[in-house]
Amino acid sequence: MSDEQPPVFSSWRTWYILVLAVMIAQVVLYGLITRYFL
Amino acid sequence: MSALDWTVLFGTLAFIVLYGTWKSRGARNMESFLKGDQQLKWWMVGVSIMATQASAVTFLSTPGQAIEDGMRFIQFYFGLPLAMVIISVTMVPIYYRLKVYTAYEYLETRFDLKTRILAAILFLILRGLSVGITLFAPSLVLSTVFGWNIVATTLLIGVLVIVYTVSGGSNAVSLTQRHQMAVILGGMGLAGVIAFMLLPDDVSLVDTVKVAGELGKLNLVTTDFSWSDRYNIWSGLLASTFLFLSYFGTDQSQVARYLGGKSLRESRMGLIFNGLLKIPMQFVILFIGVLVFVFYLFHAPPVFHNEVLLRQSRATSAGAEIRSLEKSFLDEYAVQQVAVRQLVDGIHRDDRAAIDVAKTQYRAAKQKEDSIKTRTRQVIGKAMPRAKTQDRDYIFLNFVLHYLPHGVIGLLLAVMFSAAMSSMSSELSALASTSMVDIYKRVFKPSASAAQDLFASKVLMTLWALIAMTFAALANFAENLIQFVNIVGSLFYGTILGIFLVAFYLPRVKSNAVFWSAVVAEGAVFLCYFYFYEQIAFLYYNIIGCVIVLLLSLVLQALAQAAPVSGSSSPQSPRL
Repeated sequence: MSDEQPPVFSSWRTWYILVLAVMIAQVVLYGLITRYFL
Repeated sequence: MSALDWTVLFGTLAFIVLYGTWKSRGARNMESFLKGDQQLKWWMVGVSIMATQASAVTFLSTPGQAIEDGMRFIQFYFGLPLAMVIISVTMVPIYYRLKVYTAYEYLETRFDLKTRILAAILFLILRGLSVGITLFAPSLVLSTVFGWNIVATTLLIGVLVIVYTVSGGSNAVSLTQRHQMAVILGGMGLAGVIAFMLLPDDVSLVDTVKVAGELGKLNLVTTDFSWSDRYNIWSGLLASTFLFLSYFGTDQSQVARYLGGKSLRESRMGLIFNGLLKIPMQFVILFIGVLVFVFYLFHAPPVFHNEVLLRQSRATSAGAEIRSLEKSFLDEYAVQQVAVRQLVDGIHRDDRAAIDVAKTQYRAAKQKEDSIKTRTRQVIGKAMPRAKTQDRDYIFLNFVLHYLPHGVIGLLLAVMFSAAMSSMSSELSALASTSMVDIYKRVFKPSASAAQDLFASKVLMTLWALIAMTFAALANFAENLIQFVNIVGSLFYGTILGIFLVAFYLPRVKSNAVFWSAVVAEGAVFLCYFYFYEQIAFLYYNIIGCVIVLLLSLVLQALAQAAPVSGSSSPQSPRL
């Protein structure tokens, strides 16, 4: 496996999108929790 | 503290220190000492990054932050995943390609020696102050709570770190951080579970969440923008991104962690690991604070959480007033408890009207309690003028000491010590690397032998540890520790990040333009700190410093290129 090849996915871009998607999902989830209670 | 607690505490610390010293023995040259063997897998890189960032302040202050201000502090971390991606794409490949020891080496390649040294000195000031706070914070709290001498507490933590860090260098830092992180996660998880189990039997986890939500503690996302508001979604996504870009991309204490990876791939994955897990980890720590908040709705807290100071103040001339305030506080707490019971009943019956009535009663009682607390602080401050009357950092530790079972108390103290040691060891390693590679070896002793270099690295590391210990032993400030750590970072990170961003993205800008822009930017940030502290939240210093460096360097470069070169008609650009 080449040094640049990431594990699991075929490109780094997929990992980066995953990181940002998880961050956005958390912000949305926390926003919904806040909205539900406040 | 029982014998079991002492055994758990010192057993854990002794194991980590001895294991780290033994496993990392035999660093034979400066490269192995400062950079390590570069054999870390991605998860080790990730753990090392997280352990470096999480200091004792994180675990002492953050639950208290949630108890008093709700969970909105989590927004501070929203910019972190974005920063991880940008750093993985841009900075890490450059550091690998140039095979640098420190981030600042790159600046000499791109600009010149003076820019490299300016960035290195800014880092040394920032990190030198921070390592002092890293050590001071737990020393102060632990020495206050247990009545230990602060110098002895500082010496204990400092010497333990020196033993393995000066012996094994960067390898020892990474090795011990794995165990320290395991202790931290295990201890905090256990504290959360026990905090929940201590709640009344008729209060389920869902009830706990609902009670905390109704009382405003689940304010995870706040959207109102204000320059003076520190924690909202805008400061989290904008200012924090700049802060974390600078911290993870240009702060040697973090750069060294991922450059210790086996390859570029492992380093990138380590950063991605951090980007995925950091926000959930902070959520858990803040939620533990919320659990403790709900716990104190059913068990009377002290009127002032620094109980040692409270006890001492009772013995002063203000003792009668303090006792009277404590009694008033308990009376109000009894009123509050009735409202809380009604709130739980309303939640069980799903009765909106009853919930709203209970909340109104709770708020009225809470308002009176808060004014009694404020008065208590004032009376203590007046009776003992040198006393620190901010007690937020003591709330969680007080809970641990009074309500957790023996053995777990020792484990939680080991968490605080481990967190202090894990970040301090990384910081010392980074301070030694930068002062050795960017200053001492580059400017003063470029041709020393390998043995001399290794010896000088160890001496510099010990010196930084001694400076931190002296600072911690003599320091006399304690108002909101986690905030102070972030303020110190924000004072310098914007400028340092600006220098690096110019290096990466503005290829036409040359050394003099960026150097003087950085000097002006740092002056502007200090101006904001000293004259506009109330108007501009410190997180925005990161943006201000960075933007000034970027824009001013462009202007200075354009001016320099436009200016005629005296004594020559050549159209060539001047050297700026």
